[in-house]
Amino acid sequence: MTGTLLEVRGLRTVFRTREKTVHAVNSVSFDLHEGEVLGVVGESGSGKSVTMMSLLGLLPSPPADIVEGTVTFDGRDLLSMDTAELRRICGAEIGFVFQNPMTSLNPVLTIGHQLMEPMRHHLGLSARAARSRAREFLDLVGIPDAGRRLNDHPHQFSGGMCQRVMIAMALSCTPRILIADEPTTALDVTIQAQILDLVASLRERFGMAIVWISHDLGVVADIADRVLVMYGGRIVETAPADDLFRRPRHPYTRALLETVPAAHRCGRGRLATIPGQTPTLVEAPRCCSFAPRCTIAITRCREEVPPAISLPGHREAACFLAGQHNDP
Amino acid sequence: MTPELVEVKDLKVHFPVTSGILRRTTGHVRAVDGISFSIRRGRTLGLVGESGSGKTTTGRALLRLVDITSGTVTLEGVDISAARSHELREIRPKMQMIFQDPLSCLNPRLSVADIIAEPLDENRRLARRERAHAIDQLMDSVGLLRAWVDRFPHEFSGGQCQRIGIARALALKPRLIVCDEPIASLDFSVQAQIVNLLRDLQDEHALAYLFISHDLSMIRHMADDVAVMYLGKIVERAPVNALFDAPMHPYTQALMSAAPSMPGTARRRRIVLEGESPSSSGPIAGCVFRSRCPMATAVCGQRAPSLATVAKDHRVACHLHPPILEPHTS
Repeated sequence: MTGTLLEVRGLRTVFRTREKTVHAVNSVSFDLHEGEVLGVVGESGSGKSVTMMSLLGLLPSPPADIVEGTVTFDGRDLLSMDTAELRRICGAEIGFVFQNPMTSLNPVLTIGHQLMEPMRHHLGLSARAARSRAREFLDLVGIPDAGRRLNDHPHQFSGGMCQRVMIAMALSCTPRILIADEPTTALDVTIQAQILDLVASLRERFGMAIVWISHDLGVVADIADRVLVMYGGRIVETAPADDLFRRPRHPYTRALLETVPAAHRCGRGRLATIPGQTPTLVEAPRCCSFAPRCTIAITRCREEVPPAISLPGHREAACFLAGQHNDP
Repeated sequence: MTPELVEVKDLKVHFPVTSGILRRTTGHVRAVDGISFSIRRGRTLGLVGESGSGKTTTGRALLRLVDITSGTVTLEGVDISAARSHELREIRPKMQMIFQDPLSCLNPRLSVADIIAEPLDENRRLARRERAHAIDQLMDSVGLLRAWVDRFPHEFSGGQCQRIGIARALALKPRLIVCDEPIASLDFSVQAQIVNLLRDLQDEHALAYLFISHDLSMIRHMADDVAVMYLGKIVERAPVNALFDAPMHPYTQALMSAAPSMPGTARRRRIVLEGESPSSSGPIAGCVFRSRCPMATAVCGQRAPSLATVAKDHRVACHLHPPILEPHTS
């Protein structure tokens, strides 16, 4: 087993507005090991992005407030750092790729300028050295005629190419962790396939750990070694990817997998649904947040918050019944 | 043989591109460039393709929401493409649309009752009692509580808004509903609810759907026949099983291999296409897919392949698949 690169314990993030407080992340704990691809899945509002943005202090405060928790990266506590220290890590040691490539790039600056900026800042490269490295990375992510394209502006690039630029930018300082927040959601499937292939090859080359946030189970099954499933601001299940998809242990994961029409079976059958709606998170959880929609919930589920229970095979599930409930 | 409900023949929709202060037309975007298909009563045609392939424009052209450049669209034998506005008014109740973003297609200032009844108010004169009764029935049929009639769109979740949109589309008892990515913006667990609802309504009212989606697994689940679009053209059309079991066009093959393998199934080898779809503004010599096709040959640059029957009900526009001689031409 390789070492732990990032250790998150009991992270709690709330958003305070004048009317209400939203409990977006509730006691989230997980580890990221060196060189692994960790998939994070969940529906919208499950706290996937907020968790990752909390780690690096990327959320505007107010309204966001990290109430509790520790985040240890390579022996250093990220949450107690001041902005200047965080800036040295953010971009240099931890790279971030955002969901919407078109809005994450500055429209008035050239691609080259934006690519060179982190390298000059973090690596202290001269303009000439940064430029040649920028060209190298643009070439690496598969943008033809890289040298000339450095002078172009973002609007001259398509969505897929902008996302490649974002990935090149995140990788240019060879970070140890790459956090990708729904990096392919806005792209077409054939472009998505290109990006997935690219990331797989870059990971082999640079050996960084990757956190891949997605709501698409297919993408996560494809790319991740280990998967976290989030629901209502909590991690409900953690497991190696193959095991998770083959034998989900948490009722939510199981229900989620059943709602997806499998490509191999077809016909005029009905899809399984999860009745009800996702929780609104206006109060801190006092019971299992999935209990109202769960088919096997017992009284205890409505009275206390289930802790993460360790299961054989390096997996965990936050369900009172996960330990007892055998495969159907 | 059931007669075709909708027949589309050689449909073209070109949008002018203007430039300069005089707004002179300097070119055309060939959004839809000569496609033909038909949909039978109670059946679903799935339309797949990437962004910019002309799926949405096709759906809009079917309802005459965009101007048709050439070609014909007939609904129950009535030519929509040539209809005048008063004729269109009579035809339109038979065809409705469900949109991608459920919240933005609902008027935020109208209550649910008024939204659902808007097509009725516009086309039928109902007494207040009948109107209320119709609203109640529509709300029941899409699984909304009758008690919610006085609420406003912002009080509903995405899935519920989509149900309101569906109720509105059903109000005039249409024959055809164009579903433009109806589930793309919804969460997984809600997608399944809406898909099941669409299915139930189809069985109940013998509705025909043009189901536009980029999600292949949903298309496979929903559609009876599938048409794959690329750059304004249909490159392959076949019954759903034939298409998924044996895709023939290189683009369809790439599209299917590119879709993330569903959890639990064996990982397939991905065919990764180089580059991106070219723009549809200029005329393209030869096959539209040529620039990204892994199997392109010299002939692909010279001659555009036509959509030809290569197996029973299976049509492909590709030089690699020579047409078979049909036993009888009908």
